[in-house]
Amino acid sequence: MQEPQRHPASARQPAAHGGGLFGGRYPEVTWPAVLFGLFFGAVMNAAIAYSGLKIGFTIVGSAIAAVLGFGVLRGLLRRGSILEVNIAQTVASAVNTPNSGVIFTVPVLWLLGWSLGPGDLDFWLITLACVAGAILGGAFIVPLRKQMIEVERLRFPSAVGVAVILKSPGAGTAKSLVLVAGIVLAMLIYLPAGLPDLGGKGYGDVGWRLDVPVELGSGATANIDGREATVWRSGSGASRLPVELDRDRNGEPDLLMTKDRIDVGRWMGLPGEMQMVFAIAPFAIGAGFLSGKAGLLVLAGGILAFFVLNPLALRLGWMPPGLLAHEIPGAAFNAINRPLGIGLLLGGALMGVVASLPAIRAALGSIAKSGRSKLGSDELGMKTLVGAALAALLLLFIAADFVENQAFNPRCPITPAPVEVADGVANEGTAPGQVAPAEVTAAPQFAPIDRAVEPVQHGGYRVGFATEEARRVWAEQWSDIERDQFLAKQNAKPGFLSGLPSHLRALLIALIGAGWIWFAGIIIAQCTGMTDWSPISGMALLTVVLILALLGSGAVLGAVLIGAALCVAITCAADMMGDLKTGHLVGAQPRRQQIVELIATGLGPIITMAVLVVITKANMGTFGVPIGPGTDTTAPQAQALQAVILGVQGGEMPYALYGFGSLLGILLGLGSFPGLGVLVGLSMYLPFFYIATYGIGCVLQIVLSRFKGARWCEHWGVPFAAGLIVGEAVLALIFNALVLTGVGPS
Amino acid sequence: MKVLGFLIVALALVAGLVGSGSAYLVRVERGPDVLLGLTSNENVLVPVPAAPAPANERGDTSTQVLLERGERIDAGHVEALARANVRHVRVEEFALARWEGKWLFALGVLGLGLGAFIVRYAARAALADAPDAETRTPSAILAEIRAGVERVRTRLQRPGAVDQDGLLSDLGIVVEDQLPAFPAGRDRMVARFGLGGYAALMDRFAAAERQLHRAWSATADGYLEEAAECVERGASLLVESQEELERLEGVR
Repeated sequence: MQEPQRHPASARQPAAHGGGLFGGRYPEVTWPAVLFGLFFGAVMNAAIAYSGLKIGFTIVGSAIAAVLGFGVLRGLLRRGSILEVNIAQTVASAVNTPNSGVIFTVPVLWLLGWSLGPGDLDFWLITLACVAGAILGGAFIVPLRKQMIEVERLRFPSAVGVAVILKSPGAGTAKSLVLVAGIVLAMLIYLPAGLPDLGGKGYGDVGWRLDVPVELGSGATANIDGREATVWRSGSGASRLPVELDRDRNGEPDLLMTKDRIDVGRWMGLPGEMQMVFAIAPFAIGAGFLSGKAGLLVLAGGILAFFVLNPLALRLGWMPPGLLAHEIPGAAFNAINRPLGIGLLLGGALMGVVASLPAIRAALGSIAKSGRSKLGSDELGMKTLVGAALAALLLLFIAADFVENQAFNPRCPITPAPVEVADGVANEGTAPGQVAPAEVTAAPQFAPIDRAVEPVQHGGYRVGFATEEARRVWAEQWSDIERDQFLAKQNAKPGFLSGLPSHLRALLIALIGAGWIWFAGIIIAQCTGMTDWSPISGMALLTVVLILALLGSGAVLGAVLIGAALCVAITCAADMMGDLKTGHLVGAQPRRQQIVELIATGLGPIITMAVLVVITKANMGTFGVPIGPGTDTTAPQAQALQAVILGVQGGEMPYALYGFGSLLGILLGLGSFPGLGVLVGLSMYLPFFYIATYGIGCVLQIVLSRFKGARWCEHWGVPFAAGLIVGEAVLALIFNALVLTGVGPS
Repeated sequence: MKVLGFLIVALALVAGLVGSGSAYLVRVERGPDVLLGLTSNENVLVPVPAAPAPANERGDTSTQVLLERGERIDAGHVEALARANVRHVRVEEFALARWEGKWLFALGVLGLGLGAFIVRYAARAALADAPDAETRTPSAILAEIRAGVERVRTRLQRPGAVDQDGLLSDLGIVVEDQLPAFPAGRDRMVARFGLGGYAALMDRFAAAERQLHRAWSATADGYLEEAAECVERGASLLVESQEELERLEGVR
């Protein structure tokens, strides 16, 4: 090996500033990059959390941060190497990413009647658990970098897109123009989809509707359901349209192109149970293009679920007879597709982990070996990672222990609050065992518990009270039967660990939670690596089911706490892996990225929790409810979680379907490649309209590869696809920020 | 052969999923003996034609609830369900004996196993049958990459100012065209060296790859000394990769 050469000055001069916080002449981790990342990450976190609560999914933050990092660091500050901007986007995405984990889980507590605020201990316990989850997610996934990125060569489409953006200044004018063309096209396509949020016109205003048969004719306008609508007439008299043409019953034929999707299936006249709907989402086309062939398997899984299973379920009489054909996909999704899809995903992931064990062993051995080397390692050493994991585990235990040692019930069993009756006269609520007066129509509302009053242990639960007097009544006047009735009314059945002392239970929950986080982190990182989709909410649902099974169906707070920690952890794991993939492609040192990401990521959950407090307070003032239905922030994922919690409490969970799905996922992995079950399961569980659009991108890549060559696709297709991802993400963020700041209709 | 394997896998997956889908369904015609005491897991609504003429023209129907979600099924329910020609009820309880699709599921499981075996067998046979001349060997690809890196080193060692654009172009050829060709032969290498051996090889190769990517970035940013150091490190790691490859191939 030769000594490095000194080179005279060249045409392209580097900016005259130091190498950064870790030394070296080539700037990588610098204060401007870190500060930009922290500031912009916080802004993205708030804006994307808000939109996620509205629409149920979040957008990619890394690509936006990369583009703006260039603008700010290179444009305004006249500094910033490729690696410096990479660090800026790494920090920004580390701060932003945990928001999805928080907003998919924590709002369920408001939906279930908890009140959370900075004055409540529960609020801080959940925040602590989320911070612990963020650190755990990163610390657990770092040792798998070599296995996933260097050995398995997972694609991580968005991460590749970010690398393309970062490298664009050196990639030549033509490639940069292709990237910009992708960005502009994505913005133009997405603009009409986002404008209605600001009160503007969008795709829905084009008015592309279903054809109405001539015999139905058309008629005059009339006031239907409080709005002006066209009343369509047949020859024999006035009638509205048949439900096949007017599913939303607004008196007009349905739109084929709504605000953000196109219903090609209805245009083609497919049966109602077959949904061929495409999301107007350029990012999905870009991600599909970057996924290529592997993504096509995702599309195949979606087709299997929505074009084979659902129609079969209808034909075989498996669906309730009262359902209309177009309601079948939704019903089948809940009853069959989702549990089987999640099962397939789990089985496929398990198979993937087992098949990768030799590679994982080699990767861990390499990290351990380089850690012992005098030259130092490119990776964070195992000792550091184990230390970080233990610290996070301790935080998780503290949070779980606090939750385990406080009352499980948000309302006092003894002291009822006044209940509104039908005629508006206040009446006393009913205590367990009492018969409610016939005229009481609202559910009984009990007073909130007082944390100063020591809870009482019963049936594996700690029962809290509003007053000392209420506690005395429970202890002295209530029989065991009445107490059991109270637990039953709270759907609080005992769990597998209910008989253990509370501290031991908390320790076991923290350990099991951490182990599950490790496994789920691998699943999510694999999914993101192969397809760019991450089934975060599915993992959260499973976690809550697991914890409820262990602690008992009434331990909602404990289950949500671990579920939130897991959700944050797995999003951070996937983000860490994506950032490391980008780093690999631009030549960043993994160790530096890992350190800044692990330090910055704990900030994310704190910001999102603060955003949640602001939103719920504003909602209470405007709508009278903190979050969910009846507000602008409907929190669809939290509603799904609420349904699962209520399903577990009611004994409605189809556990066998999860098991069968897992077995099929494992067997699928025995064939061509171990992760096949992950790809198929993913698409059965995600909304098909995004999968369909994503599939267009996959097909485009395959066709172009065939006719123009793989090299052409890499050179020109990849920057264009990256542009599609970035263009939509940037515009969506701008729209969200504008709505959040009060622009647009209230 | 491989296509046949995939076809079997696809059909078996459909069979397995369809079989699973009926796990919680109970056929109403099996009567009270089977249905009584089970808990419904869905609202069973049956359409009741709405009488007024305009409503009929709309194609709308009213619905009548026969069974609510969470309700225990009693004799009255069974009778009403049978009268309304409801074919199945989805219940909360699972029982192997009641599961109508179990044989279809079992067929799916067997098919998946068989299909997987055929796919793997066909893949191995294809790898064994493919003559080396058809595809470049890992050694040949590695040699080509090393030659590309050598060109970059030569350019860096030339006296006088470095042609930055030329350097970037040469590095571009290495990182965009030559480097990806090596891991593209993954299946072949895994088949020959095992996943552990392949992982050990990729450990060195990926480190070299990252150094060369860093060299590209440093060159694009104008940090040529950094670029030169990275190229040297990358070249050294490629030598280590070559040594590891030879060890795995049994040359050493």
